[in-house]
Amino acid sequence: MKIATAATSAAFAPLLAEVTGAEHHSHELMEQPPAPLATGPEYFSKGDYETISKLVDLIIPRTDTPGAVDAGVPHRIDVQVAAKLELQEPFTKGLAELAEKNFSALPEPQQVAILQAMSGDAFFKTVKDLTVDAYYASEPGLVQELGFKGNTFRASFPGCTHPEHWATEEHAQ
Amino acid sequence: MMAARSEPVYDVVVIGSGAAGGMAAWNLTRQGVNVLVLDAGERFDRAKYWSHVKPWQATARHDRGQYAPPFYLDTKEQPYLTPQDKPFELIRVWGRGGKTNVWGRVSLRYSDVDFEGPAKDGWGVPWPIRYKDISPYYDKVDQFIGVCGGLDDQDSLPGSKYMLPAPAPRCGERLLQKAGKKVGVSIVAGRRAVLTKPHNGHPACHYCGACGSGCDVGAFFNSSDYLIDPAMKTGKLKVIDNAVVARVLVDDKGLANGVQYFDRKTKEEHKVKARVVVVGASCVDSTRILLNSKSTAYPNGIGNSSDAIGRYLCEQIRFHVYAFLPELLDGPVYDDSGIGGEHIYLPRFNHRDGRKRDYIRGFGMQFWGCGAQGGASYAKALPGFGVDFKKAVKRRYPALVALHPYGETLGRAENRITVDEASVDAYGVPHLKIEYLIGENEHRMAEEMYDTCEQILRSAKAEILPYERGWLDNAGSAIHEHGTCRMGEDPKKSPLNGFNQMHDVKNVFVVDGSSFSTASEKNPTLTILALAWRATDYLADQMKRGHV
Repeated sequence: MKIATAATSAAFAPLLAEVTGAEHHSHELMEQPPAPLATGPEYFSKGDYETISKLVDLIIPRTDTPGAVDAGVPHRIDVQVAAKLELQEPFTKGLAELAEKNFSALPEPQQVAILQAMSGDAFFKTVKDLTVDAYYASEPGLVQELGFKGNTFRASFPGCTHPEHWATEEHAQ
Repeated sequence: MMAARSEPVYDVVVIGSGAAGGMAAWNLTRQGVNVLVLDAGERFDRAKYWSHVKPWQATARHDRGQYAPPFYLDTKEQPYLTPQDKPFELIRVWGRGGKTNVWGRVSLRYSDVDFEGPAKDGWGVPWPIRYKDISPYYDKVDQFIGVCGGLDDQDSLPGSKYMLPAPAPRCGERLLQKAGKKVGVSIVAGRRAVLTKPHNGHPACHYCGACGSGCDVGAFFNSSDYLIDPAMKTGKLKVIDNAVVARVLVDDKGLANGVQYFDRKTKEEHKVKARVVVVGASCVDSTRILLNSKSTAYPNGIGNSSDAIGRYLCEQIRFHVYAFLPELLDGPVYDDSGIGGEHIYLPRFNHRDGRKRDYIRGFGMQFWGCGAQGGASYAKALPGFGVDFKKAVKRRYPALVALHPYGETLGRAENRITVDEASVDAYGVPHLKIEYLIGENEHRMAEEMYDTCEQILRSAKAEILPYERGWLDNAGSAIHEHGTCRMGEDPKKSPLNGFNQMHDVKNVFVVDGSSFSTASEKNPTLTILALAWRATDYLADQMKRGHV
């Protein structure tokens, strides 16, 4: 696999902090229903929100499992950009550049071509990172797409039951 | 007219209620000593932990303006200073049990490879103790708090027959053990203070994996439930909450006679009297208290004739390398939560082959985050977008492994904590200043740490997620501060003797990570517990004999 930006490991390292509460697991308990998705964007204009929805849909489309739009990712990005000043300028600029190219009105193959051309850009990276964070933290992304089964009560933990993965036979029970 | 009311004089005042202070309070009260614990916060309410809140539920709660219990001290309330070019990530928990409420729980004994380091290579001060001095206390700690692990000791990782059963390794961990074995690297069972069966009245782990949010049933050691609660039952313990200690007070003979603290809510000043002061507020905060305890007898801080207090701050260097194992790509997804954190450990081995290195000391390796996680951040480092990208993320999800080595940092005089008289907190107490830089020895060691990761992953034929070689986690982020009030035989070089007692002030004991002569590559809490137990056994004995 060949990829990625030079800054990857620095940005990526805190994936699992030891103590700082990275593990948001939970049990099969009653939980209040999630807040309804906002009826409209809080931060972005309707047009910009549609552009963002198209972007995240191209990044993680609906297949036989839900896509980023199904998982409410545009709403999450709207909330995050509203809350984080440092994200606002990149979005203003990035969306303006897409508007210049008349991105929203183009047929999908041309939109894909534009994304491919900008896939090394900081703005694309920002949108992709936000999409990844929001989608794979959502129930559709984490459970329906990835099959996450954690955060539950178990009487025991079986671990690996595949002797072919083990170093020696004496580990077998 | 008011009758003069005599203020109580406690046998011992203990500053802090985490691993160090909690152990001191528990071990002293059960021996009949009258103890006052001053804690800078309040008890955390287990019923309010978000241990059972799934990621998407947490998001929805945030949208409603609800947040998890705030364990971590806000730097707006207690700022600390660092030079522009020397950032240091200081993480503090003020409240009953301190950081043990949310700690990583990795419980590794120091060995004589660690204790003999400075005596062998000449860097720093020799430890005044060896493994034989502390091993009975490790045994007691293992039995008391419950530590799970394997019967697979190494010269650099001693253990005991008292361990609780080790949790079964996950698929990726088994494969890493196998890959390591092929290249002569021996990856053993991890050791953690997590109860894999009920122990001493505490329930067993239920494998939800949410330890970092606090355990809702107390199935891993935390000082509040395991030490302070039973100490309270002796009737010998009093705890004052929200007591932010500023200074240790001294009499005209230069002995400690109490403590000054401020109420975190009302900001009022209070003083309490005691015959002995035990300092266990965690390395950095204890150091601040000691340096702020200035008097005619101790113009640069109590017990600091060596000028070593605040110096020799050492932490550990770390980084992550992520990879995907070919056997697990596209495979079934299991619940890999386990006991929260990895079930394996690679003990230090670089002392064995006799090859001379261009650095001293050593490193071990943890594997935090193997198997299916509650997220897929690695996707940010995968190329492209669209259907192929989505597939690429999914096929790697069960195959993730994480290598997370820890290396020792050397104590250096210039890596230090000071207090800045010109900058004070809400109580008028000088702020902390931390100056800390990772040194050349550590950068050279990191090369071999990276080599080792690559060697194991090549042996596993893994797909390695791109990383920047040489990159290290932020200074401070291991949350393993040590060394700023180190123990040693020579009072000119070390503030403490081998029983954590101040050379200069015989009725002050410092029992947290600041007392370590070196940091080693290991997580400190188990050793803090053993040292604090040993120090307070000695203290109780000295009090009985009338020496303190």
